[in-house]
Amino acid sequence: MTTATPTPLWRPAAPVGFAAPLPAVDLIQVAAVDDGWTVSARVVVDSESPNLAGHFPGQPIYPGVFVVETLCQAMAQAVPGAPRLRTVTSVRFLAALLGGDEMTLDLDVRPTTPAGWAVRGTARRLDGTVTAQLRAVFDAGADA
Amino acid sequence: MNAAEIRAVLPQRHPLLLVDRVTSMKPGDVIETVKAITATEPCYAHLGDDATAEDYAYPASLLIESFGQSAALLWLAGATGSDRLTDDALLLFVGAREYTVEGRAYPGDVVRHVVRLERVVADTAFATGESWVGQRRIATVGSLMAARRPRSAVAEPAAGPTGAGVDRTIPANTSAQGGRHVR
Amino acid sequence: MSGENERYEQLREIIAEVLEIETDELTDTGDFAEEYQADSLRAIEILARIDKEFKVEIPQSELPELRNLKATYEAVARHAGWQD
Repeated sequence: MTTATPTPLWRPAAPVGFAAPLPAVDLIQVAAVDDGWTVSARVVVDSESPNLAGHFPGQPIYPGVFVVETLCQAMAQAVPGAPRLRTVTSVRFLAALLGGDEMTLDLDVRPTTPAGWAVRGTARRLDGTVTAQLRAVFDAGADA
Repeated sequence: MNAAEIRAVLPQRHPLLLVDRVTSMKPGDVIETVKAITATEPCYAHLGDDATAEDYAYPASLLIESFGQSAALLWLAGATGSDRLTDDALLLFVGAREYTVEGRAYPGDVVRHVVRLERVVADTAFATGESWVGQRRIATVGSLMAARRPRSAVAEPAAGPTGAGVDRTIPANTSAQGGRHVR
Repeated sequence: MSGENERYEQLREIIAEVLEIETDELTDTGDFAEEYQADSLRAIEILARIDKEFKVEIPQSELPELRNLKATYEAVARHAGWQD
């Protein structure tokens, strides 16, 4: 799978087909690398979103768990079989995302035995500040 | 604690206030909470007629948030005097380890969280526990970390036209005075 | 293995896990912050894990001293009153 692939293009994310608090990926970029994938997902924090009205009133902050939501939606869109989250091995939230901020979540996705995926990710704001770091395990997916 | 009492303690509001009731609590030690899931939750609003039963699995992100809010209720109940959450402080979810999904919850299910507070160090709390639907365990939580931080230090509105250069990293409280040990 | 060695290696495992590195990557004197990019939350996690695993409470004021494995072991031993 290491054939010369041109730099993948950003494409708009498809509508989310499963239960989700919000569309947590606006644009997505996917490339096959060896046996795995590299995935990047971008999302702009919408301060008008009802979620942020409740988190928190008068002080909208993108909830840390929505980074996990971005992770789940990006994996379902990018990796064949629509893998589902099994374990968040480690996640750390390092900086706040406020309304108008844009987050880019870069994922390195490697196959595991038994069939599934080990994921490492870093989320950054546009200014390069790392907002979150994570490691997670996904199953092969309901469609696999 | 009922919904009104929970609302008085937690800063989150609809649709992200994700604890319905506290069924038992030993402050600073262990709490049991419930969150009922219905098909009218906002997270199902966008699903079309072609959605499968599996598409109705309640999102892991919201289950983690609900567990985290339960941990916050436990922590805040154990806090006294100046340790109570004030208007100028926020509880932030700063991290987790080994959160494992073992099952799913669907509309009609009542999720029960059992959360134990392990340690509080430097205004950072470490909680552990499980989430259940009836006799079915749907998640185990190795460790969830939350921190109490001044609002001003966490989320100043972006200054200047671009907001660039504003340091909004989440500072840890490592001062000798700020923290305390529970237990 | 002596009790001291066993506890030293147990501490190495705990800290390596928090720093998300392999046990053999964690040297005795490697600086947590400089060599392994540990931030203040990691330091707090190490303190909390020591508290949990060894039942030893190191005061928060000593956090800055926990710079490497050797110094951390010495702090744990001092507060636990380990003699060996």
